[in-house]
Formats: sequence, C-alpha cells, structure tokens
Amino acid sequence: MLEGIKPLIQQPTNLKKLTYISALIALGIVLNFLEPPIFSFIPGIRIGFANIVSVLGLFMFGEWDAIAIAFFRTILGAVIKGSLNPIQFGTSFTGGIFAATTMALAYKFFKKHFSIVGISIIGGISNNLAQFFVVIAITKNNAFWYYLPLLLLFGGLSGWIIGILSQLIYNKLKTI
Amino acid sequence: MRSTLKRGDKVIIFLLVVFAAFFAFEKYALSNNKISSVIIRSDGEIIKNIPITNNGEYIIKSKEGELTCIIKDQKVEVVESTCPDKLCMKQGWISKQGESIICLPNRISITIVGGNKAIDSTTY
Repeated sequence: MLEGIKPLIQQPTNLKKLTYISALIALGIVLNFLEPPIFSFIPGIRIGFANIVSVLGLFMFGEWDAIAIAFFRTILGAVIKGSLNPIQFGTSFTGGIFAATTMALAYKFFKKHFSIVGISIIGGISNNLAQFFVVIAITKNNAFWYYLPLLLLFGGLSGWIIGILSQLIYNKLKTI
Repeated sequence: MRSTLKRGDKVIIFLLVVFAAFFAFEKYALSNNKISSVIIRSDGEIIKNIPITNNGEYIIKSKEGELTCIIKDQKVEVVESTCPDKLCMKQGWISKQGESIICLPNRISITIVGGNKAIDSTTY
C-alpha cells in the first residue's frame, strides 16, 4: 500500500450511527412535508413533528449531532421543496437550529434535572421564539407582538406532545 | 410515562401552565375593550386606517400581491387573496382589540385597534 493514502471507510464502527442519522434526517424532511394538511388546527400554527428527529438525535447521539440533524433537515427540505423563500426557509432553518441548540445546552448542563419531555418543551418554545423574531425582522410589523404569548404557549404545548412521542420512540429504539 | 418526569420537567410544565392562565386572563380582560378602527399595514407602514363602523369591501394592494377584506358588524375578514397558502382567509373573522390577520406572502397585516390609539392616529 502507498503511504499517505487512507482507506475510504476509516471507521466502520460509525456506520450504524451514520445510518441512524441519515434515517432521522430523511424522516424529519418527510414529517415536515406531511404535516401541514393533516395537523393544522389553527391556521399558521403547527405542532412541528419534524422536531421529533432533533430530540431523538440529541438523546441517541449527543449535542453536536442533534444540531447537525436540524441543519441538514431544514436545508435539504428547502432544496427538495425548491424554494428559498425568506420567510418559509428562514423560519424553519432558524427555528430548527435554535431549538436544537437550546435543547443541546439544556441537555449538556441540566441533564440530571430534565427528561426527554422537559428538554422537548424547551425546544418547542425556543423554536417558536426564533421563528417569531425572524418574521418580525423580515416584515417589521409590530402587529405580531400581540401573538407572542400565544406562540410561546403553543410552542410549549407542541414541545410537550413531541416530547411524549419522542420518549415512546426512544424507549422502543433502546430495546433494538 | 408520568413516573419518568424529573423535577426540572415538573418546574417547566408548571411555568407553562401559569403562563397559560395569565395569558387567558389577559385576553379576557382585553376582550371588553372598545374597538374603534382597522389599521392596515404593508411592510410595516400604515397604508389604510378605516373606522370599524365603515362597513364594506376593501381591496388592499402591496408589492407582493393583493387581498380583499370585508368590514361588517364591527368584525373584519379576508375573503380573497392572491397568496399561495390562504392562511389569511382561513383565519376567519377578527373582532377584538389587538387581533390581527397577517398575510405573510403578501406582507399585509390587518389589525384592530381600540379607543385612544385610533384617535391619535387619525388626527393627521
């Protein structure tokens, strides 16, 4: 063998992790596409089931992988949709990354005090908070401030639902 | 499920419930306020200011598109819009102070304002 040329697959032990993360990203994109027509009780407010994959990624692989999943999920989702609409892409990208980051921080520093549900609620609230400020920054419209409490409330509630679902999925995955 | 909740979870759920109760109370308190006019903004600038008693159909244009809204019996509704998602139309009637119909694709917002604020903004 020539020196200095590395084999293509260096760490076969990472293959399982890579497969899981790819599957989570794909799942996140699909959930994001399927959601709006089915689960939109109030116009404009969504549960954001795609965040399940960020939560699962965080608890399965750790902080950086969760942020990476959110990053690729939102970017690939926009590429597949074929539009980089500043509001649509801006809210989903910023919301996804910010939620993954706050969840990663909460996981890193307060792991002892929170279960999946608590971390997911933090993620849901930060997701909506980030999206709110993106919309404010783009439209410069003060009419939105009236809806901030409602958005935070729904962020928390959807985070709760997502946390319970993630906990169920996580428990099943653990037994595999 | 319940047994897996840790102390931090309970604290955050408690805060959420308190916040919800506070919000519901505030909304209830606001709902009794008198409303006076409808302010229509595009890209943050006021383009129309219509007294709530002026019943009728209004066409609002912005750089991105246009929509039609109806004012009737102190309520406002968007009935037609050029935007792709039609969320503004799905929202239905609004009638309380501070409530808005916001059409993001068209960059148009319709806000109901109450008593004193409206007088300030109509004295040109």
